[in-house]
This record gives sequence, C-alpha cells and structure tokens, in this order.
Amino acid sequence: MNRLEDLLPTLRKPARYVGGEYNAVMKNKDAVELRVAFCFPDTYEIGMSHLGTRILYGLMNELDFVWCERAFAPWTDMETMLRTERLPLWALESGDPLSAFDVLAFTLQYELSYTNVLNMLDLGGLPIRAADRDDAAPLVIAGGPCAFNPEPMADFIDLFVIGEGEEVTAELMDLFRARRRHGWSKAETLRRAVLLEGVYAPSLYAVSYREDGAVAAVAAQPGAPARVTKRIVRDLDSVYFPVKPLVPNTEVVHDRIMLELFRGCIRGCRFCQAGFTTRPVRTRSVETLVRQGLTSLAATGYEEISLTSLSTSDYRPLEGLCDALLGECQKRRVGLSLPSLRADSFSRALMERVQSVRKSGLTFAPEAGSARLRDVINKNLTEEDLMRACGTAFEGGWNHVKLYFMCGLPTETDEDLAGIADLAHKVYALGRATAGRARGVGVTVSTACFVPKPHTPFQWEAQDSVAVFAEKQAFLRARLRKQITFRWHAADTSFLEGALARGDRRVGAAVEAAWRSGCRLDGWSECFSSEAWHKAFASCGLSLAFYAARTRAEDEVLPWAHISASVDNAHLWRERTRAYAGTASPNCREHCLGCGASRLLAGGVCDG
Amino acid sequence: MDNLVSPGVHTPDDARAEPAVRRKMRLLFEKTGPARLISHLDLMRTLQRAFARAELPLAFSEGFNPHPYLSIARPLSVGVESRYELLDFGLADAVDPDALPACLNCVLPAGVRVRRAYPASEGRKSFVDIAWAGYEIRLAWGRSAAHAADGLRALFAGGPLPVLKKSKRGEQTIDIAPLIRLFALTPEEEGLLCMDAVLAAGAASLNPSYVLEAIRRHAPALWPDRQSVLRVSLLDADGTLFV
Ligand code: SF4
Repeated sequence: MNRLEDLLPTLRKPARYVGGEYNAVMKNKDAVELRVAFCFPDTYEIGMSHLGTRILYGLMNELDFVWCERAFAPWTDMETMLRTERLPLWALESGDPLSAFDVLAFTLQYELSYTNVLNMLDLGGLPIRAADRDDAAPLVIAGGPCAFNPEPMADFIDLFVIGEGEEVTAELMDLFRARRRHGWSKAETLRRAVLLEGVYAPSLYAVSYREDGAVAAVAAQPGAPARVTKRIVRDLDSVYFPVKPLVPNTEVVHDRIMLELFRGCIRGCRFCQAGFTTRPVRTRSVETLVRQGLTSLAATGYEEISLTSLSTSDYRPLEGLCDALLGECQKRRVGLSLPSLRADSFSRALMERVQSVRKSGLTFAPEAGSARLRDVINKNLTEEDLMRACGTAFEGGWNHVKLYFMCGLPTETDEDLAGIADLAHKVYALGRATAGRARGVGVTVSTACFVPKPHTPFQWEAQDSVAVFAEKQAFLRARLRKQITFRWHAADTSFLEGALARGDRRVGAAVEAAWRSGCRLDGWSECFSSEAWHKAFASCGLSLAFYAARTRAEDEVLPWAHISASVDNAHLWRERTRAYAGTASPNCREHCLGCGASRLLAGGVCDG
Repeated sequence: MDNLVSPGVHTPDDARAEPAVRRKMRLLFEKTGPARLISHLDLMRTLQRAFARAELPLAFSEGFNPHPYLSIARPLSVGVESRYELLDFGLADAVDPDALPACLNCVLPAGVRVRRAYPASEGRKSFVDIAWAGYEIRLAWGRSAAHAADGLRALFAGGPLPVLKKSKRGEQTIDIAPLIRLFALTPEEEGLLCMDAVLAAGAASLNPSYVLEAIRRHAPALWPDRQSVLRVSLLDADGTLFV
C-alpha cells in the first residue's frame, strides 16, 4: 500500500476510497466464515446515499459468521491509477481485493450502472462472465429494482434476488455458509439456492427466440421454478432496520438519516415501476419510526431526518409522526424533510411541521401538463390541487417551487406539452401575486424523458426516439417564458435506459461490447457516449430501437415473463386499456382492483 | 460501542454559568491515517457530528441561519497528516475540559483523536498569533539515502530558493528561503531521511509542498521515491509552542 499512500491524495475526493467512517463495521477476517463485499456500481457519493445499501450492510454484519464490507465504482482517475499500478479494486473495510471474498453482492438501482458492474468485476481481478468464474471465484449475486428484468445482466451474475432483500439475504447467507462447510460446487450451490423463494439463477434457464427477434420461450431446468416470484417483508415493524448507519467523512448526495414510513404505493401511476413492483403497501408504526429516528440521531449526529417512501403523504399518521419527532429534532437542531409529497395533500399543517426547523425547496410532480394526460397515466391530480398546494407554499414563505414532468408519455400531443408551460406560468403568476414584489419567486420546470418499464401497464409501449424527444424539448422551450427555469434530462441516456430496461439476454453481449469499448459511468454525462453504445449494439447484431422503440403485442413473451412481481399481466393490460380510454383508476384505498399482489400477504387482504 | 456520553461529563450549570457564546473551548487533536484524506470542510462537518453524537451541544450563532462556531487553525491540504491540529469552538453547556477527550474519542472516525481540551477564554492567544508551523517531512528512496543528505543540507543552507508559487492570481516565482525558520535533517533508517522544518504559517505562509517543489526544481537528482508530511506543531512569533 506504500505507493498507494502517495497516489491517493492526488485523486479527486480521495476520502471515498479509504473507509474509516464512523459506524463502519470492522471484524477479524479469520474469525468469520463468510466474507461478503457489498458492491454498489456507482460512485461512493451515490452508493452511500442509498437506504437499501445501509440496510443490507447492517443486516449482514448483524450475523456473527459474516463480515460484510463495501466497494464502489472508482472514478475515472482512480481506475486509471489502479490499471497503471496494477492494483486490484479493494473493499473499504479490510483493503482486500474483491477476489478475496466469498460473495460479491451487487445492487442494480438503474440500468446505466450495468457497465460499472463489469468494470468492478474486472478491476477486482475476476472474469466478468459467470460461466468463466470457477468454483473458487466469489459467487456474484445481485438484487435491486433492475433485477425485475435480470436478463441483460444474466451472463454476468450467478444469482439474482427478486424483491425485498432482508429475509432472503439472511437465508442465502446460511446457504453460503453451508456451501463453505460442505465444499459444494457453484452449480450445486445454485441448484440449492433456487429452492429459496425469490431466487433466480439464470444459468438454469434457457431462452429461445422467434425469427422476428422476440423471445419465443424461457425454459427452466428441472428443479428450478418456472416462474420466480418476488419476496416481500410482511411486517416492517419487526424487520431489521439500520439505526447505526455509517457516517461518511466526505459529503454524499443524501447525507442524512432516512426513515422508511412504508413500502409499496396505493396510487398505481401507470408509468411507475416501483409503484407496481413494491406492492402491496406495508406500513411501519409511528412508535417504531420514532424509536428508529431517535436511536439513529444519537448514533450518527446527523442534522437532518428524511421521511422517505414512494408517496410520503399517503402515510396516514404523518402529522402525528412529525409531531412525535419534532420535539427532539428542535432540541438537537435537526431538520425534518419530506421529499415525496403529493400536491393534493400538502396542507398548511404539514407545511408548518416541515419548515419549523429548516426550509428547503419544494417539489411537486404533476408528471403531465394536461388533465387528460394525467388521467392516461393515472396521476389523479387536478390543477386545483396543484394551485392550492403552491399557494400554501408561497403563503408559507417558500419562494421557489420545482415542478416535475415527464415527456413522451403514451398518447401525448402538442396540447399536453403546451399544458406544461401553461401550468408553470400559472404557478409563477400565483407566486408573484402571493409573495408580492418584495420576494423573488422562482419556478423550475424539470422534464424527464419517459422510459417504459417492465411490470407496468406501459411495458408494451414504444418509447419516443431521440429525435422526437428533441423536437418536444424545443417545442416546450419555445413556449416557456424566460422567468421559468427549464431543466431537461438528456434524451440519449433515456433511450439507452429504455433499451436496457426491456432488453433480453442477448443484450448482455452489447453491454460487454460497450464496456470493452470504454463505456463506464454511463449515468454521468461527462462519461456517456451514445455513439459507443449504438456501435456496441450493432456489433452484436442488435439495435437499441428494437428494445426501446418497438410496440409489443399483447401475447408477446416478454423477456422478464418468468419473473413475477406478483401483479398479474391481465391487470397490467387492463390498466393499459383504461389508459388509452383516458380513464383513471381508483387507488388501492378507494377500491381494490385485484391486481394480484394481495396474494403475498398472509390474510390475502391489502391494508391500502 | 456505546455512543452515548457518560452523564458525569457535564458539570452542574450553577453560579459559574455564563452566556452560551462565552464558553469557548480549544481542542488539540490528531488527524492521521485515513483521516489525512478528509478535506477541511468535511472535517468541520465530521467534528460537528461527533459533538452531536457525544451529546455536547455546540453554541450556535444568532440570526436567520444559525450555525455553530467552529474554527480550525491553519487548515492543511488533503493528504497531510497532523499531530497538532487546533479547533476553537463554543459550547452551550458548561463541560469539564478534562473529560472531553475521552468522550469525543469514542465517537470519532478512524484517525481523528483528541489529545487535550482546555478553555480558550483565559488569556489564550487567538489563531491570528500563529506564526510558524513545524513539520516532519519524510523522504524515502529504494536505496541508501546517504547521497541525498549532504545535497539536501546544502540546498536548504539558507541561500535563495526561488520556487514557482501558484495562487488565485496566477503563477509567481518567490524566494521561499525567508519562509523557512529551521531546517534539520535526520537519517532514520536505510533509505529514509526525516527533514524537520519550521515553515511560516502567519500572514505569509508556506505550504510544505513547496519545500518538496524546491527539491524537484533545484536538485532533481535528489528527488525521493516517496514522501510524506506530518505537522507536529504550531508556534507563535517567538517560536514557542502555540497552545
Ligand atoms: S390487491 Fe388490490 S389493494 Fe392490493 S395492491 Fe393490488 S389493487 Fe391494491
């Protein structure tokens, strides 16, 4: 490590490569039976902000026979240094190379991190393809939202975990310990692993294709389930939660305590993958959350608690929870933040609770510019709701409101796009009228490109091409007055995201080709090359458009057909039909649409 | 590890109680190992959180955007280790200074260690009176260092040492010799020399990296394979230890 000590200070943000943070778990490597490296395939600042990483790191380290460490994707200067000095990528706690571990556990949070997985395996000194890693190599497992379509990564990962990780991770750790004790081969281990619910081993499934390029069938080997159903945690009050999270020594994106109020979402917005894959709703009690919040404060010294969930304001006792936390928060000068509030529930009462300590910017997400299109996507938000919420915010002293939209939604027309501008102007005018001339009012319109995702009612849709996205951006920009700040997500990265999200197993070769041609850190605009990706797909006889911009027939076998989020395809298709009819659907609390997710609950009835 | 501080640390808030802003304290701490890579701003946040974990309430400024009073003397560049870091801060409660190091040390990250704490109010000088800083600059070669010792002594014997200095205004050649108060060379082991250097750290100041830069520029043949810098002291104008 001597030469390394000289070189580290010359890198950008070197503190992210050495560990030593408060609450990092150090164990004696000779005293544990299983060494796991939790690998986050993006930078330290992103990975350390992720609640799931905190949960699984803490959960695995609670097991006395496991030592779980962390590894992150190196920034380009670090990668260059590792390659020139011929040093392997190491885990932060022990400094040992990734090849020294029994298990590498990746989390796949977004498709644009796929090349980072390959890069980390390679820098760790391991063959990137699962088939090339022998019995002595670490077992490479992966989970996270992208595992709901694992196929593009199937060639590289030995085993996927579908759904929520807490329970199945503990079961897998037991299995891997048994592997070590009995000396099972990798093949034997995988055969046993798929007997656990929610575990998918791609090598036990064969994919065949039709002449037109679509998937013909996915056949499971004997002993492997024909369909792998996701895991959920039924009782959030008894499941492990990290109340002593790591406190980074260098600033990360979400540098705060995160409390998770509930999982799932009652809303059923038709574009939202998480809204379907995390069903049904399960709630934590106020009592548990207050206890977790106060313990975490004492153990970290953080100055902010964030109440997270897909739609925080759907937590029934939200005001009570805020009140229960506020006393201690004020005493310690700790701020409370609620990142995902629905505009129709943003009340004065709630506002006063969030702002009592600190004032941050407010974001509302109408998602679409017209009432018609909001019905298509089932957003169930009226213009009056939005105006009332913004009015409350301006009256309450907020000066800046950010509005979040999606562009390229199914059935979208120029009128819908013009509606985005109209809404922004109305909010701006309201701000000026409420705040008066004394205060500067700011409205930001932030527009993302719609990416159709597996396991949603829009999983069959064609995504807009990059050219169409560009036209729509120009159209909207021309309509927005200069007082409105306009932010736009790059269309070419969204298009790649679209291709990877609905890719089949052949896309793995394109991911490898892209990585070999130098693609990595694709989520970072300074590193992303659209051209390199198109070349990589072409070199494998594939095209991005086939996966991103093609409408699928109802009876097409989708590449993820053998992975079940426990929401029936029939329900998704019904929702798609209603979308095209412009009909909104009731939320789970108003009326159960029988999506199928309730099967995962003991009583078979969702709380909503 | 128990993150909570033992209740014995707080002294009763009795007649000695004084307004929050006047409980100024000074901390002497080390920043070594992985902590040498923590930047100045990150270190401030790290310390602030450690105080919170130790349940030692910092005094906050008044006003619209209250912030704690924390000040580190002569912040170091990333990568430089230190055995002599000073932090001035204000506490909202009266605290026994002798109990502070122990209760902070159990909540600090690897490489940050408090050596002493003392009230900063009783006639202590303020950071503006710091004039010099002492460093141990270690140079290592893969082979014997005998050839380098004499050359380095000659280089730092007191003659002019022009070095290119980068600042916000651009580059400028300056003579660093007047900014070096003391220079001594000790062979430590085969291939390893330790330079004890006392460098200006007042209104004019000299980053230890310029001492290395002088070697690179004027005696490239003596350039070591590896080098490390450790700050060992802060001194006032007459060269006595600044505490
Ligand atoms: S089963 Fe009904 S209530 Fe439960 S998630 Fe599905 S639609 Fe909602």
